[in-house]
Amino acid sequence: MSKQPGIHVKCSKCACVLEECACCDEPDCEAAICYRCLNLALGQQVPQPAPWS
Amino acid sequence: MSPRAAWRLESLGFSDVYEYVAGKLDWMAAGLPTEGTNAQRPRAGEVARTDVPTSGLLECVGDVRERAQTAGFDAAVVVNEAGVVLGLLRSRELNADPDLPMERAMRPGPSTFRPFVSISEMARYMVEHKLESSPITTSDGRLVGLLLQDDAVRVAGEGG
Repeated sequence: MSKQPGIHVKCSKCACVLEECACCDEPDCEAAICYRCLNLALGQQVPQPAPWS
Repeated sequence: MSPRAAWRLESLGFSDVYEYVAGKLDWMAAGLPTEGTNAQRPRAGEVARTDVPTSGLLECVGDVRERAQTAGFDAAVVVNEAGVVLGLLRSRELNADPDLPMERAMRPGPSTFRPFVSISEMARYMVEHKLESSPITTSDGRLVGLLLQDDAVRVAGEGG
């Protein structure tokens, strides 16, 4: 439990702000990636069409 | 498969067709067989070590560390009675105070990966993120095994 409150990183793919990397759970990961982008990249999730607005 | 795909197969003459409500990814995540080009490539679930030491929340770090070392691991996975992953101890956490209960020493809710992920993708991400090991689980969180970075890189290098 080494989280440092207030430190945020950005997803290296979609640039959304993260508290920690979804791959390594580290708050200061240089290659941070969000849960959605990671799952898409690994094929653990299928891209869904955008909902009707 | 989806209801539409099932109906289409029936229209093509297949008689033993089922709708798998949870979907294809869930099927693969459970380690069930698939066909096609990708099915021939090594995946995380096949390379993961299924003999990884596990423990409950209340065991002490010292006991689990000893068990892990005897088994040749520098990691252990904390699971509940259903085999669902609750936490992970890599080498750093295993070297904590031996009297500490696993519940306090573990990394809670670690990132997990599904068994069908290609080993080359896993190797790439594990190296990039400096992950010594990663738990491989089914969609409902049950432990399949622990994938070691060395194993992933080796198998990927062999053409995985």
